[in-house]
Amino acid sequence: MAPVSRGFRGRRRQGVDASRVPPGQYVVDDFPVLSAGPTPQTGLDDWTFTIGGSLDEERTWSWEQFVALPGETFTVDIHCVTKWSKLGTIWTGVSVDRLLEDVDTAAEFVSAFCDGGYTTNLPLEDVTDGQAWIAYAFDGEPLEAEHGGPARLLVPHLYLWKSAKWVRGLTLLDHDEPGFWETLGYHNRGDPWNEERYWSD
Amino acid sequence: MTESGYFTDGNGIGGLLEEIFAAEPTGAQRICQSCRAQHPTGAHRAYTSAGVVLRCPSCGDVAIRVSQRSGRRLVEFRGTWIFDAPR
Amino acid sequence: MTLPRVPLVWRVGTVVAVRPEAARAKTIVVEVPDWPGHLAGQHVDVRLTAEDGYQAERSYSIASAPEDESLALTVERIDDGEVSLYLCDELRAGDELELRGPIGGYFTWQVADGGPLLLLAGGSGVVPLAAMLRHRTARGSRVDTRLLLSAGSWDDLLYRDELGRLGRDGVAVHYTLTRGAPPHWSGWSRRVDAEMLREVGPGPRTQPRVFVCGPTPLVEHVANLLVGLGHDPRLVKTERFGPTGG
Repeated sequence: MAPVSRGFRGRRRQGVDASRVPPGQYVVDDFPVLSAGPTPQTGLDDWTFTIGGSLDEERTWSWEQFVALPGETFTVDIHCVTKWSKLGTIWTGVSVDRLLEDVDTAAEFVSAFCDGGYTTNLPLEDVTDGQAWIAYAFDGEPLEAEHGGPARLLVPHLYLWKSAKWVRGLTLLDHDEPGFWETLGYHNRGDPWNEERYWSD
Repeated sequence: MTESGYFTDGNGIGGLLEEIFAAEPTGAQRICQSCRAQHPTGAHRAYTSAGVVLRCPSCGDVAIRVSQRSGRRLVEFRGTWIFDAPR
Repeated sequence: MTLPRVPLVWRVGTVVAVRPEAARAKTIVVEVPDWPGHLAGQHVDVRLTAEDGYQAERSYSIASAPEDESLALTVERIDDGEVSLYLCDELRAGDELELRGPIGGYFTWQVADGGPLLLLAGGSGVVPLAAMLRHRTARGSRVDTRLLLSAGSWDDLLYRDELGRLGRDGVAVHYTLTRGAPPHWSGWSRRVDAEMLREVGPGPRTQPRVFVCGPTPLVEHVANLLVGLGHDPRLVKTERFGPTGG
């Protein structure tokens, strides 16, 4: 066991409602910027969002079309596998339910793909029923590039690596396709309340 | 049906493996699998999030991915690494 | 010369002194039992552990020369920096400090590597370069050495007095301040550019060993300028400290 550093407490916030903090997490007030690669610089003129794969017909939206869709502003707690949690974050985006509204599919899984090559996989039932959004604003302001802007996937009930930054679409699949971190030992589902950080958890 | 036995295992090349993994890594050159550029490991770009990703400074493609938990580390290497024998 | 291959393990050192360094930095002198020695340019990882087991880890360049008796680190105080705030505001002589090293074989310089030597730094990026300069002095080397330091203001410059004295040892020291200069300032007051680098020299034909260190954006910018001026990229070694440099 490493020696205790006299007087060191770290930047964790004290006195939070413990019921909102999953096991092994600590609450922060800032918003750490973490990524697996450089920040993409996709212009809005080039940006599209596509739902493809195992469905009746591929759907694509341009940026103008996307932000014209009915959006929601919502407040959620987010939890990163690196152990920080941020409570009461305010986002604006389009519910994935709305994007899948008239999609005919028997797929059980989705794979999110992003500028820069990042991918992550989820069961379809984890991104439906009001559990997931494509978010384009944070705290009332357009989502900053370093936090995933122009738009990111947001699935707050799972660890934040599932909330893929710079998302450009969802591929519907009838099989599960582990993504960038899932293929390197991270848990396939990532439920913070069961502390599902790694594949053997 | 079993194979004829023209192979050994990790124990048989244990010395070689220990030399590889004990080599000082930042000076080791790497040839990128995507763009063929050659750069020392120390010049590659490191990104830290859920794990660590090291990328080619020329094209940005992945060179190493590392995830770790207590007692276990998963490492993926891409490209060709050049290790020189110590003098 | 290479150092013997020693396993990289966490060691517990004892802080001997914490000294103010410039307006917002501290130099921490630490005694580390069985310290294997280091090369100028290498760094250590420092790990802090709270009573409940929470840990934070950061890398800090070694400021001391390999010839110095004690290990010294210089830490810039970052306003919301979890570890740097502790090291600068709380740590005191007698405390234990857990660290491991030395780390890095790529960004190192020894007198035997030769010169000319061109050192370029932004902010706390000067720390590993200071170790190289102290090593050069300790060995009595007279290799052609030029240093260009970029900092926000005069008060931010680390090792100001010591670097000022290096002029007598044949080291050309240049400064550029990007956020305001004192009256009668004779140095530069702008972001590093090609013109400035040309004035600092030496040119690429002399094949200088170049070391660039500091916040990532500055290192990217300067390294690109150097290659643009014709320096062989293989002789330009970079160490990036991340977005803020802390």
